[in-house]
Amino acid sequence: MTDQEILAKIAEKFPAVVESKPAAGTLPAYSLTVEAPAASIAEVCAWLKSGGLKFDYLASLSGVDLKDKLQVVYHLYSLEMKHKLVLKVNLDRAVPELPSVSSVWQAANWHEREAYDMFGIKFTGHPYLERILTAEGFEGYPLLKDFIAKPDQYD
Amino acid sequence: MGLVLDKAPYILESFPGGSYVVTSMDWVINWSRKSSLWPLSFGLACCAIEWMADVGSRNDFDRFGVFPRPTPRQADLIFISGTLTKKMASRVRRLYEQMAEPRYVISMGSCSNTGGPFYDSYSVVKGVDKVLPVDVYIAGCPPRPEAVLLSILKLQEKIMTETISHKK
Repeated sequence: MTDQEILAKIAEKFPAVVESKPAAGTLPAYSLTVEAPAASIAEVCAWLKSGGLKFDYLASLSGVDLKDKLQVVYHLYSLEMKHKLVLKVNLDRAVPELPSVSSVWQAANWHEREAYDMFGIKFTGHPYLERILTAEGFEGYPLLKDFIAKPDQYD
Repeated sequence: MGLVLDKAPYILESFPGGSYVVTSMDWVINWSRKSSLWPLSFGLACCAIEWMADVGSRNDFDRFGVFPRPTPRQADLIFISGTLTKKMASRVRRLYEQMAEPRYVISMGSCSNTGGPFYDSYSVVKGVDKVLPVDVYIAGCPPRPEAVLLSILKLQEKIMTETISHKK
């Protein structure tokens, strides 16, 4: 399916999900990129997987700190229909919270825990939202731009 | 006796029924320790791959009696081969404590020596000597297998200076 067909299908079902184009003078987008509102991300993802587009594979879910806001980026593939999509969700830096998609793709479980560990993004409805990579008792979210590491006995 | 002890400070005596070697306890204990350094089969990061090259036939540190063991209970030596994270530090300490004495530590590569390129990281220990007493440091990122062989020879030299009369 071409990018335009995918975009038309999404726009028909979710008018709030809009295409996001890179700013003028920057590199072209890696693939079709859309932005979705945080509150409806779980429904959008459930439909992307089980609707006609069949995005059955979540390649990655990552957090991004853009200083004025936080972002969660989903890289989706359809192994069956051989197309791809990048889904972005902007979050308020003060209250970084959005629904979990771990019930849609099992892969999201650990990816969301990593995004929580590194950026403090809260995924509501996640079955076990605990730190996954940092050491026990770690304080703060190390990939935030304003993070300052506290020296401990190993420094 | 068919045993040949090169450079041993020994006295060969002839007795009825055969020859005997008379030497110092220090020398013979150190000699046996240095000749069968069994390291723990343990690796942390990319240096561990270089370390595996020493296990293999081309460099073959078995010719120095260095023979990886799968459990810390049988190991005399631990190579800290790679980046030691803060999360791993307590685990490495526990492995070290499970080893029988006398036990030796070789710090392999920049990460293990000082934290290396991850010195400014929030998650990396700035040198394994914050956690364990290190006997020999190997420079390099990663060190070549020959450098690892040299570290074993250096450790053997160090072991030969030990004495059983008091703890070091």
